[in-house]
Amino acid sequence: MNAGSLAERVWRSLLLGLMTLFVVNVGLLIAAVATSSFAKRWLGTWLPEGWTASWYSAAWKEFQLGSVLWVTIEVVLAVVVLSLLIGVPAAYTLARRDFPGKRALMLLFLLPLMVPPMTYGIPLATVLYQAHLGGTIWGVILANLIPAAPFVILVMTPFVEQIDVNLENAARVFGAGTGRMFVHVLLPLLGPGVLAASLLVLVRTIALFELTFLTAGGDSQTLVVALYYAVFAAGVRAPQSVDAMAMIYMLVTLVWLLIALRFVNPTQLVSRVKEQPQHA
Amino acid sequence: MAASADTYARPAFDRTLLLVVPAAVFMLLLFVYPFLYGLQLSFRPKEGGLLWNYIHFFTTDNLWPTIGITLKLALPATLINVGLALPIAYKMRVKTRYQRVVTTLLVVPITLGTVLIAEGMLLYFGPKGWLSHFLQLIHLYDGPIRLTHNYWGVLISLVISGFPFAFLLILSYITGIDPVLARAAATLGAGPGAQFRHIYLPLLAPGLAMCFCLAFVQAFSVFPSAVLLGAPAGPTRVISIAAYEAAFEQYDYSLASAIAMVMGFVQLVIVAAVLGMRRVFYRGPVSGGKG
Amino acid sequence: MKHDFSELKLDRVTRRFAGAGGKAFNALDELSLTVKRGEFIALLGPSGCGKSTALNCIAGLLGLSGGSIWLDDERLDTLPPEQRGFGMVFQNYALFPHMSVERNVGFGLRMRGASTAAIAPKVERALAMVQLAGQAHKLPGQLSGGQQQRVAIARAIVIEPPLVLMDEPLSNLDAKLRIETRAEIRRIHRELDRATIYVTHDQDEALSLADRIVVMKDGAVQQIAAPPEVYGQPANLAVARFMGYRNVLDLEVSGRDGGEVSLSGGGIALRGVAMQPIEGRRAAVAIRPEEFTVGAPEGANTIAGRVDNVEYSGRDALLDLVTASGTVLHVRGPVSIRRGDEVRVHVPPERVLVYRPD
Repeated sequence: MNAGSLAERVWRSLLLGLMTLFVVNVGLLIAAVATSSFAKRWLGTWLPEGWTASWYSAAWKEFQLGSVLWVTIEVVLAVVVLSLLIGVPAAYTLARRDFPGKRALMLLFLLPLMVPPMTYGIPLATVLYQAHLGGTIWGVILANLIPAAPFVILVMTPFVEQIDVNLENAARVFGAGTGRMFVHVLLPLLGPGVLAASLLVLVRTIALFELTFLTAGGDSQTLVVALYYAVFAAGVRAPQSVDAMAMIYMLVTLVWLLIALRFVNPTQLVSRVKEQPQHA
Repeated sequence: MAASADTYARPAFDRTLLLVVPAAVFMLLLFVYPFLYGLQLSFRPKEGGLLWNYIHFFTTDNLWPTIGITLKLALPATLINVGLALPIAYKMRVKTRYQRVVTTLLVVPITLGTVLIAEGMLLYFGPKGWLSHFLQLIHLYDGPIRLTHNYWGVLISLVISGFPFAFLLILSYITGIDPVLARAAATLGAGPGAQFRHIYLPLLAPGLAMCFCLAFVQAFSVFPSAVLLGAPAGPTRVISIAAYEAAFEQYDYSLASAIAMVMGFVQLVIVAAVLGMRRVFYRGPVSGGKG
Repeated sequence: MKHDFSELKLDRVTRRFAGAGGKAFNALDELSLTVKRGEFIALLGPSGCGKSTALNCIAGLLGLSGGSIWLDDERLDTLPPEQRGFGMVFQNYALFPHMSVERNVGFGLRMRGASTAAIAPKVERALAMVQLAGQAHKLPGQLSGGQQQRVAIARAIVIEPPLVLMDEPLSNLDAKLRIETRAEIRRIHRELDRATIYVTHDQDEALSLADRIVVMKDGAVQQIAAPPEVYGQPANLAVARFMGYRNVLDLEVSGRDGGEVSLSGGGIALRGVAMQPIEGRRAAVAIRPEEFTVGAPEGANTIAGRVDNVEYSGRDALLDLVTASGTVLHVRGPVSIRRGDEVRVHVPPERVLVYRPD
């Protein structure tokens, strides 16, 4: 609109500078891992002495990445499917009905997102070990569902709310029972929301460390936990193979992140967002 | 809107309510029950009386200081994150292609997770990393920089992983405020500064309090970066580490539960304080008038 | 910000937007207009015609792509909105939800650095003017739509602006309230004795409120005139259509006599008045339904047809008349007419407006 005063311009460039500093440093940080993963030897110089891709095959063998990846896929898929099965119907009810105790229930679904995983993870792990689920893949899946299912509910509730209740009424008036109404009217309309929710859960579950760390056993580790142990025990193994593993982890996350960002608004990763079109 | 389908008579029990049952049962079983179990377990120590775990925690030299250590990391990190995120998100509130690109760039650290950030920081900020090289190149600082395996390493990693979170959260709050309000204020004589102070800030206050709480809770439970990037035996021995060690190294689940409860309690106190403060401000719709 | 002004001048005000495929289009194309003190101007047109763009340009909420805006000899278009000193009423009111009615209304005065003591009586007077005296301490969310509307007006006028801008302020009210508020807006305008620019898509609103109407279409001004002229002598076919000339017939020109044109086609022969220079062999005539007299004897400017549909509207009825060649005419007639009746209608030549076809 207007050019703005000097102070305003200084302020603007300061903010721009801070953002640039942040993005550049994070970018270089990632680049450093990438460089190291392809380095023959890299000891305190700008660039390594030579390049090789052999660390990737080394990491694959050393860390049994094949089975770790497989476990990760199993866990993530199970968490996505189960959280949708649990969360979408609940979101529908919360969006459409008023009933006593609704606020308490909303609070119950909000809490796991407000309390950090480390706090409830330790008692949870204790319970899971008592139920002989600790250290198994099912324990990991159950633990990951605790933040995932409420997250689906929180993403889907506003989504259901914005679907005009008259569309459901219309379907009923024209003779569709609950089942057919759901299949022919609700499901197609909810489709984009379900897709968004599942992608968000997927990305978050891949990166969720604490709960998996607390509940996983030797053969139920996901990629991020395996990476933690690899970094933790650095020194035992060549750092480059750890970095190769980090790169594999990062590629897995980034691919899904980029897919997810095609369908969702970045702010949805951390909060529920009601996208209401502004009428002109 | 939610109740508009309910105006006609319906059977005594609404079967739609059953849809919420699986989710509720699941949360009760896997969230509430473990929490309560942990709470009562914390009062059944391996030895000693009812409160032994808590007495032990507050009298042991490598346990009770973890609260202070964690607060010393979490509070500055939260303040930095929220303090930086607010002006930047405010600048980015206008929907442009530029906004989309920047928010996308900022999402990356969230999804990479703390472990990868820690590994990257060890390389990049390490004494032989690129940053050190660069600083020596421009002769800004010639000694080896020490930003890993100490307090600063953990703090930086908390900012890297926490700032995008705070930014996206605040951005979603800001974009939820009807921009017409600021335009109305402008026609009434409010310049850019006054628009922020009189319109955006009061409407944003509840969201900011919420964001502060969530960012703080995240920072307070810092674990992997404190181990990998900090000095887990000393200056960055945060409370999560103490809880983890009790549970998985000493196999004292009772003590571990007690530490987790202390952790939850401290978080609760801070969150309650901040949320209590926000009641001072207005809470309500953030769009003007009807429509 | 002076209150003692004589005119606001818009000089070829233009606003371009990037359209689909990066092609720029003019949302507002060279709007020139001089608003005198005390005048009530309505910007009228269908949605997307550029009237809101024009208003936002005047308010400073949109930058200009060309042209200039003057308040007497002070150039305004280079100033940000907060320095122009206009009052504006927004379509959805844009009341600050976190401020009481009182604080909403006093906001503009506070921004001008007025003291609390100076603000209170002014706010009180403004609230009295919009008949909201008892509601000062409520939040906007506690008010009805009509009350919110009046708070928005009070907020705009309390700063005593030279110009009040109103963006479809009545579009969210129900029909009865709309008529009441319309009268109130007119009264407030008279009492303030400043200038008002009022955007609307409703002809009735524009006709009843404005001293002059600016009819717009596709970003371009079609006509600037007093309400009776816009109503009776639309400048072109587009304005005529928008102002309720529901019968538009494309006919062949058979003769010209000064301003009078004879036309025929499809068994219809009409004489009418040329509103634009007619050069080609074809022309369009525009006639309002209420200009016809039903049940006329055979003669000049009469059309015969069968009534195909009757829409009862109280005092009279709206008839669809189908001629022998299949042309449909919309005619206001007595309620006694039934579907299937054969009738003959007459329209005086001075009410047959002839335009270039579009």
